[in-house]
Amino acid sequence: MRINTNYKKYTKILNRPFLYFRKSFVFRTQHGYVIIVVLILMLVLVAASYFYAGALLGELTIARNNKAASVAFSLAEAGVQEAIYRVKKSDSIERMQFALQNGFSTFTHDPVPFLTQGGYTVNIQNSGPYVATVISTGIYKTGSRTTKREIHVGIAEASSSYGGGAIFGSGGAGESIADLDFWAAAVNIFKGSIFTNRDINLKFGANLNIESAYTDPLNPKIRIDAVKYGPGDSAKVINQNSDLDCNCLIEDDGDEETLQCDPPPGCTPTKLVSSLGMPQINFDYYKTEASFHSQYYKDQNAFKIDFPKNSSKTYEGVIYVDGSLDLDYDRNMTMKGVLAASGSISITKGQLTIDLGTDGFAGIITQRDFIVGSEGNFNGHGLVYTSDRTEIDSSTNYSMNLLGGIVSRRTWFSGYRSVQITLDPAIMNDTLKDSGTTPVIEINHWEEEY
Amino acid sequence: MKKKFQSQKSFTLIEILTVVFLSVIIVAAGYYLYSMSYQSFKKSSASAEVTQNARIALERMTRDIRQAVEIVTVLPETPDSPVSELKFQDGHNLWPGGGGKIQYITYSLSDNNLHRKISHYAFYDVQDDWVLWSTIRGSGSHHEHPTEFFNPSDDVIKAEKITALHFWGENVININLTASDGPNTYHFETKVLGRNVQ
Repeated sequence: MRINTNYKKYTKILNRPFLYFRKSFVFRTQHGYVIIVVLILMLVLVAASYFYAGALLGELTIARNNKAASVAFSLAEAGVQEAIYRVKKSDSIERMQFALQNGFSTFTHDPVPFLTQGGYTVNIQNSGPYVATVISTGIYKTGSRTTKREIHVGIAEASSSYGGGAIFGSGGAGESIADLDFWAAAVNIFKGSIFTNRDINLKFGANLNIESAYTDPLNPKIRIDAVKYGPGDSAKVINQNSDLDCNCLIEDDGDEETLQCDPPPGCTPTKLVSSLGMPQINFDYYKTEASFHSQYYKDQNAFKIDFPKNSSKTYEGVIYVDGSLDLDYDRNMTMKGVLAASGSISITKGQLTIDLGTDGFAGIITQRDFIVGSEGNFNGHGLVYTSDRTEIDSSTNYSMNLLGGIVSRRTWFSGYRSVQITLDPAIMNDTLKDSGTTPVIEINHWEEEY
Repeated sequence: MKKKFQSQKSFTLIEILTVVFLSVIIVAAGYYLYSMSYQSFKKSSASAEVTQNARIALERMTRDIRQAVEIVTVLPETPDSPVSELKFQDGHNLWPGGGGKIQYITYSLSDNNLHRKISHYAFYDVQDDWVLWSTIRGSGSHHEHPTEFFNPSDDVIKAEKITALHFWGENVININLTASDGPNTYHFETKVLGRNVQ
């Protein structure tokens, strides 16, 4: 009964509107185990969810960033490929600009078809006729974020006839300013000149002797914008066509447009001549010839199947390898004819001798580079034609004797090696076969550093 | 007084024991759940960190190698006897005439850390002229090779918890990497083609 009385009493009190807050006092008397347990459990679950959500979100962000970077890079690559396509297309603006000294063209796809979040912008900037740097920026958007990746690729195309020179350097794309580099090398050139559209760079006691700078005084075959060298280097031009045996010491007077010759007196400075484009060569002819004689290989592994390590072999005619070819593991190869590759040819550790074949041509022809490594030995009679660069590395064991000449965008004698080049214009012209269209090639690849 | 106490509500011993027992079970279950969640979180975080380390290491090496000019380390053709250090010429200065500096990047493993070291070669008397590692100056018995120089601050740890690193392959370079943290071990492998490698 007493309880009922209390109940009534409390009910009465509680019914007073201004005392509703006192309800809590009532509930205090009840046991709240359930709510406490539920709160604890909820707290645990919330904490666990928070941790999981943090980890999950972190992973998700990383995955998104990785995907965005990867897609942006692929889009930039796509931009480069489209640029090459446009440059090849005969009636395009890009093709027209590509032929100019300072040509420039640009195009944008933002967004690209089928990918609303991504696109690319491409600039094609020439550093000379038919030599350009493609700068492609891929963009990928995720929400408010934009991811960018930039790629630079040098592209070039041969466009001219052979203009002379035992070493010809037409100039590479991009940041390079010197096209003929002689570092510590001892290079003697007989019966011919050197020709470069840009600088010659001598370093580390390089010794360059050039006999017969040009054969026709009205059409000098040597063009040097500037010569740079340090103490101990020397460069001589010996002109057999003048009345005097003229020893011209090339000096860098700070003027990149002037070539000076110092005593002995009587030496006439070589006049500047116009720049020349990279000579064309008929790659397709050699590819067809190689196929016809069953000497076309899909890659170097296919070629090396019958040319094991530590062996010597002699080939005739034309060999064409898709991709790059490296003579390594003491392979000793004699090529009576032309050895061609759509990539690079290198001699890492081995020997390569080229010689005139029965077809009347001989040489090394690559759409990229020709590298003679420190343990590589190269000699012979023929043309060395590389769409990008020729690099002759140091060697105290091997010298290099070449009857013919080098046609390359850039040639680099990177250290001491005794080199003798005797110009043979006949073998060069016969091997160039000035009739084909030399493909547009990618010279080098550049992407941002971290 | 006696009546007063008798009229007040109370719990029996059984009730208290039951409640305490149940409370303990519930709290223990809650703690166990929390503990398991926390352990699981820690494990997945550690796992994520390890895989992320490996991912960074691979991405970093891939990007550098893709641009390399020359691979200096002689790599075996097959994974039978892989090497654990890779040195190559950095491809951001492609040509000496460009005014750039020829420098080399070496990836190696030390104390479970992936190191990226930048070095260069030069002759002592002209140390500002950086040359190829293979450059020879002079001829015959008077020839000399350049010396490798590097600044200790250019030897930087790029990823941790990398327990094994292997390279092999002649044209396409294979990278095999193992990342471990306690019982968590992950193996990664990728292939890279040097765009500027000849």
